[in-house]
Amino acid sequence: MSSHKKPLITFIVLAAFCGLLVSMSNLLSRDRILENQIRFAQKQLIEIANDPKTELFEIETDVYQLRSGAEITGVVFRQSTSKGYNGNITFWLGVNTEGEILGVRVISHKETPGLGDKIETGVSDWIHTFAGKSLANLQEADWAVKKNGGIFDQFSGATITPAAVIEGVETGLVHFESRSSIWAGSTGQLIDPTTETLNTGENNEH
Amino acid sequence: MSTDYRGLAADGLWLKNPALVQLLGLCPLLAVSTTLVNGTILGIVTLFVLTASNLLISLVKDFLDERIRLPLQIMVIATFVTCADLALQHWLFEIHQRIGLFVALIVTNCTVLARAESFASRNPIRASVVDGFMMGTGFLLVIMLLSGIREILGQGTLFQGLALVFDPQIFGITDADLVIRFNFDGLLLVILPPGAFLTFGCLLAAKNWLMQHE
Repeated sequence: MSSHKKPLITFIVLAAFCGLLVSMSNLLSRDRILENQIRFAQKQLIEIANDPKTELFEIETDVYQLRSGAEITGVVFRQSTSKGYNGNITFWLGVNTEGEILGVRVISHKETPGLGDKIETGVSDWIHTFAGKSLANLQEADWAVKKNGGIFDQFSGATITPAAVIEGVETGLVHFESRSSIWAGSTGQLIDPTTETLNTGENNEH
Repeated sequence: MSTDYRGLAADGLWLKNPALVQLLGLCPLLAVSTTLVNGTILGIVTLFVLTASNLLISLVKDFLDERIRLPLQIMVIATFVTCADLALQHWLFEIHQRIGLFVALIVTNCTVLARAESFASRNPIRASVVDGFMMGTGFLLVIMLLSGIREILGQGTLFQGLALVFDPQIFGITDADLVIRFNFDGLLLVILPPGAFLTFGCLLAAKNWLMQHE
């Protein structure tokens, strides 16, 4: 009887301690991790706008209108594709009022480091090739990697990842066309990424 | 009886090096060794988990009934891996974006369980901590060597991604300032998974040759 009790008590005590440790870490890091996620996403948004005078207005969840003064210059929204090599690839897609791509930035992916991660700006310039493209100025067949008859470079050793992003971007543009008139009419809520990131820093703890 | 710390160091770093001699923990070793920065960060996290789990296991070793020893050890290891994962998201978010998948997999790194099971659950606290630290350092050095070689030969760069370690708002450094670019494109094979095995095989051969000629 008691020979069963002792391991059980050990188990409970140790499990409680481990649980405490994990909860503490979570408590200590949670806010900062959330802030990191927001900051990372916003950093990408600012890069896409590529103009210090541009202001971001949140018009829907994960949809931001770009305005320069009173003029609407474009919209940035979140798109995702499940056709990658490993799980979802999520990215921001920025489109101007003419339907031309302002820029694309990958927010999260699990593609192979060293191969598929060339879709990140920090690793290669590939993602910049989308700038200026639109459904109007490209043929349907152009939306593919060169190997498959399109105009986009594949990566040596990795075709699935770029093909997935290309298809995701094209789908995003179609989505934009169906929503653009609604989005253009929205006023939304101004967000200021620069002050928002600064305000959440350590100097805000009083 | 005094513990032979020098012996523990020699074991961890060379004679019983977890990667090169025991051939443990090869999954993360081969998968993450594509760039030096990725490899080094994963090595450091593994080093931390090994040391911390050895400490805790050794602390409670007298209460570890053999029927529950393995699940308890895995629980302890998983705890420290989770903490390390959160810490990485806290301080090095963009690095975590790149290697996060493999950080969680440290739980399954056999080196960690092997040290907990074969050393920490039978030895005094201080010796267990030293053992964990030395084994972790041995793993770290091998993954740094392997990922350095693979990054240079496979991509023709070194220190790619190093800028992500520093907070850009404080340091204002970009990868362009830090990355060394060699004047060739790199052999694709070395970056691909088979290249990991081939490069690691060469390292093993070199290690065996060195040991025979000592």
